[in-house]
Amino acid sequence: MSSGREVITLQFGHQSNFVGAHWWNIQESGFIYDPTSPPSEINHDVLYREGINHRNEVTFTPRAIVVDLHGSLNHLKTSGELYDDPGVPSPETIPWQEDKIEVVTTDQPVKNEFLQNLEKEDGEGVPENGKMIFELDNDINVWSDYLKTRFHPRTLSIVNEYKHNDNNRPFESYIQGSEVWNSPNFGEDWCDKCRLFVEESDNLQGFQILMDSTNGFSGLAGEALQYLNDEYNSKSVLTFPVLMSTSSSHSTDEESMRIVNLVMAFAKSSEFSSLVVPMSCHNTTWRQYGPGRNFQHLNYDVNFSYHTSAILASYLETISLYYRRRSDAYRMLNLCSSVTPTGRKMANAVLSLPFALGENGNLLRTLELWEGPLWSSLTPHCEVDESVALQSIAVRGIQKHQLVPTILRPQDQCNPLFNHTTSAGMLDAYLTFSCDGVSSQVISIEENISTTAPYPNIFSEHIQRDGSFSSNPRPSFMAVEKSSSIAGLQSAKSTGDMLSSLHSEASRLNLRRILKSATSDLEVEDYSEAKETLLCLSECYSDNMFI
Amino acid sequence: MAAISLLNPKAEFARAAQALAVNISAAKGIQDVMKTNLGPKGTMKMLVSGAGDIKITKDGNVLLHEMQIQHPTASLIARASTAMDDMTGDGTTSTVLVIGELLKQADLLISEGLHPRIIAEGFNQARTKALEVLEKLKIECKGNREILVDVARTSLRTKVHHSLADLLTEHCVDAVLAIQNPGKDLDLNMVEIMEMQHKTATDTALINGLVLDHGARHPDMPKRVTNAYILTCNVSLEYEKSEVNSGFFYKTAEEREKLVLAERQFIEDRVKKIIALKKKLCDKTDKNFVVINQKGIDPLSLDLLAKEGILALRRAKRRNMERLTLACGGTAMNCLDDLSEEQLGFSNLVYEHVLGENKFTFVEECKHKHSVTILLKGPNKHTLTQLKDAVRDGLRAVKNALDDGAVVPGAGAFEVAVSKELHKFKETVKGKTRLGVQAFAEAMLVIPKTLSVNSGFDSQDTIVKLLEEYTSLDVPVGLDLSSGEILKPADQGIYDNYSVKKQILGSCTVIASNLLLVDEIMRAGMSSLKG
Ligand SMILES: Nc1ncnc2c1ncn2[C@@H]1O[C@H](COP(=O)(O)OP(=O)(O)O)[C@@H](O)[C@H]1O
Ligand SMILES: [Mg+2]
Repeated sequence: MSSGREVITLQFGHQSNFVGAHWWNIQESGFIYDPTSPPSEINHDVLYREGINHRNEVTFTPRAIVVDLHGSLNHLKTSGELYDDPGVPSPETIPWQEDKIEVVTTDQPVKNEFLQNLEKEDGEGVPENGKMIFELDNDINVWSDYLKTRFHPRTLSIVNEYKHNDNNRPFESYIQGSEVWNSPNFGEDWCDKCRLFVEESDNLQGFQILMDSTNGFSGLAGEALQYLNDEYNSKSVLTFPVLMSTSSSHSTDEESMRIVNLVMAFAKSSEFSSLVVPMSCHNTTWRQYGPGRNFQHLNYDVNFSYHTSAILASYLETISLYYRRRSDAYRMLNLCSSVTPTGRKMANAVLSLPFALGENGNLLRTLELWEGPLWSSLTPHCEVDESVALQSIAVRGIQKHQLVPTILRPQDQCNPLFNHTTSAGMLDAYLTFSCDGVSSQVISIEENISTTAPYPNIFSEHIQRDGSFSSNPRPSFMAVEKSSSIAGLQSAKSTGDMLSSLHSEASRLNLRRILKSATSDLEVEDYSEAKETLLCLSECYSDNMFI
Repeated sequence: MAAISLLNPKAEFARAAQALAVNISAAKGIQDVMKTNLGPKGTMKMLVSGAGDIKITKDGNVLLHEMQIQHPTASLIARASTAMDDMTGDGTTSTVLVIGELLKQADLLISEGLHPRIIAEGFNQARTKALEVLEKLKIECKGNREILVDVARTSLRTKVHHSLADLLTEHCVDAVLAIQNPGKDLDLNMVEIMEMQHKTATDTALINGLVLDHGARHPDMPKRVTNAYILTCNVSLEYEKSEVNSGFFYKTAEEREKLVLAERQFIEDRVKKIIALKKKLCDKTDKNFVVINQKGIDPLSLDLLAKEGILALRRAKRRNMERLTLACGGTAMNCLDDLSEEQLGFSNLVYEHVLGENKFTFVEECKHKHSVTILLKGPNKHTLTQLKDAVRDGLRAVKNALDDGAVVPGAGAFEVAVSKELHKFKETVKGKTRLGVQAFAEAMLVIPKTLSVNSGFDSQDTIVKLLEEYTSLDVPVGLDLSSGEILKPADQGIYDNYSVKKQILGSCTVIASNLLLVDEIMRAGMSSLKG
């Protein structure tokens, strides 16, 4: 049964969609259109579907459902462009008394430089990206401002009850989300979209989920997870709660509300997923958002979603290799169970980006000389430390010829790393020696992550166009086009510490007070139950002995 | 939408003015935006979003959803009106208009020094009286198909062009009558609404049976079968590695392989049970066999079924399990042990229709007809959406009429009667509360007035005529929108839903009163305003 291996992507909320937009872009920048070159090491049919539109054109679009609020899409058309007739019908064609037709047009939003360029390329049919460097930092308000990918008409799913950025009636609580889910139109419609993606899959692995976890989308996603668990209980569900700061100042009540949402989101996702991996570029995220994680060769603004979501997307683009490599039949199920022993449903994310070798550098020497941890944590409140019990690692972008130096020293032959023919093998050996008692599995592919525009210009000046490191700065007119990376999932004691710190934060809340200020009331029992779930979960991590 | 931005309160203004004045102006503002929509001669709006999304609608509820209403009071009114639509499926525009008018009337009285609480009390008494009038005016419609058609037509002609409305009317009435099941609540979910993006809106049809939005996933399966047994089931026919054999607990590859085979065998055994029954019932006859499964069917299982000429569909809607058995008979099976003929449904014709990448499967000419499908057709997405909204409302209108057992004369007749009766009633009310009753009586006339204006007539002329004729004829009279003259709604078959009118009276009174008593309510906490 080699066909299929399909995975369906489910995105809930604006923050998650920021990440999703970058991720789809990265994937499409990596597509190989040249029929003479060898096929990609990635099987893109896992996350994409082939279709055919009304004009008999073949389409290739994500198997994805993307949920956001009314008014969040800017220039993006809800039904997509691929399957719809463009243009606005003239009023005379509307069957109604002629003088009783009123056309109400909202102004078209101005497209930024990148989108304009994309349109031009479309016209000429040359997929020529990355030749230009774009400065988009000032032009990005919503995620569709940099989305390259075109969606299937089934993909966008809009919540009409709440409006994007509506301060009068913000979509801010778990319970609002679950109410929307149960409202007459939303839930059923979403389930139908989902069912149709499942129906067309021959050999579905499962679902990968990106969910906002501090606003109303937490409730929507929580309900959706429960539905998936009911309806498709044999499928894997890999959930990534996303945490991003949106504005700098929050009232205490807003902060408390976020904690409540988080508790619910973490509890529900761990109850109904195979594996949960909270993701953020901030080191702490409970009440105030802490400073950004440090990446040696990145200069990014941790309060700017366009930047941080690119980093999170790069992580996903790397770790998801586990279930979408062309060469093997490894499944999402295997990845999830590899880091969830004895009820440890939650794991940490770690990332090295770019994992830059020097010019003409090699992996062997780089690892030999490496000091400090190989990667940074992307899970809030979890530091990279010694408490790791199990880890699954994926490496991208190290070519075969970059494994060992061209000029060898005699002692190299005795180096236990030496005899490996893949970067996975070599890194595995390195980890075995450097991290005592950690059980690791490592996979790799040679293809880099594509970082052409609209990937933000966040690489330091010492990263060259091809992603390598050099002490000479890169010319300012040149963008970094690709990057190597290492991404990992770790089951560590620190995961448990994160959960208990959230639990104690939650226990400090004056629930009555928050509920009174909330527009609707969360069942107090549900909440205490969720807190209890977190506590139990955190206890699974107390001892690495039995793993 | 442009007009609604007028409602955005300038921050300074809101601070300076009384909350009450703000509420009244907001209610008027939203009334202004909505009033041109009322009735069959109202304005159809085409909303074009910045991205090019198109929505064509005349429905108050849809418009309220589409508008970016920033003003808190306006959005409160909008939400209350749409909540009312959720319950009965109609009456949104009227609700907004009546609330606006109640507040306008109240505004006059308040400026003369009357306390809002007294007005609210008057509204309350007026409502009680108005509900009595409603009881008197209602027309029984038990078992009368014609009245059902009339009420659905009245509603649909306010939403789509009348030629299309008349077509949809027949479909909605027939659909609801088909799924009626004596002794059971009417469940509109048993009418499937399916969209097909091709041809034109007037090709919309009622299918006696089900249309599924998917087809067979095997090239060798039949595309069209007649005389078919239908097995409706919710049983996995898909081999999946379960958690236990994900590789963690098995020492050798052999051991794992064995387990895989055993599990695969398990699924195959299920498929074989289906095949065995098919052989028993169909071989050497002209009968055929169709499987419709809520769970998955993997390629290997599909292959086995295809070899036997069985048509099999996977991942059917959960709700279609029930619909299928209502349409074709049989039982939805959760287990395939002891499968027998009685558990199967039957359909004379099952066939597939392919449209681009979409497949549809028609299950027609069924044994029972307790579930049907309205198949919407239209050249583009926005036409389909408009049709879908209209059909949903049409179905609701028929259901309401059946549930209510009665309808109410439309074309402004009900409102005129209420207004007139309230004026009489007012005389019996003591003290200043009477002024509140009078205000309510005036406010009701906003409906016939607006219907008149929207048809190009003079609203004062209309009101005078209506009130006079109502008094002299002593039967409900409404406005003929094409001539501007008086008509008897019963003669023309212009009926509205009883429950819609009842809702309008109730929610308008509550919301208007809440907005009037804003000071007190703010002190008690805004939460009591919700819903
Ligand atoms: N043919 C007709 N002649 C006169 N009035 C009509 C006719 N059809 C409907 N109406 C009136 O139009 C009003 C409903 O208009 P509609 O646009 O549907 O608004 P709403 O959202 O309040 O239901 C009712 O008062 C109804 O009696
Ligand atoms: Mg109506």
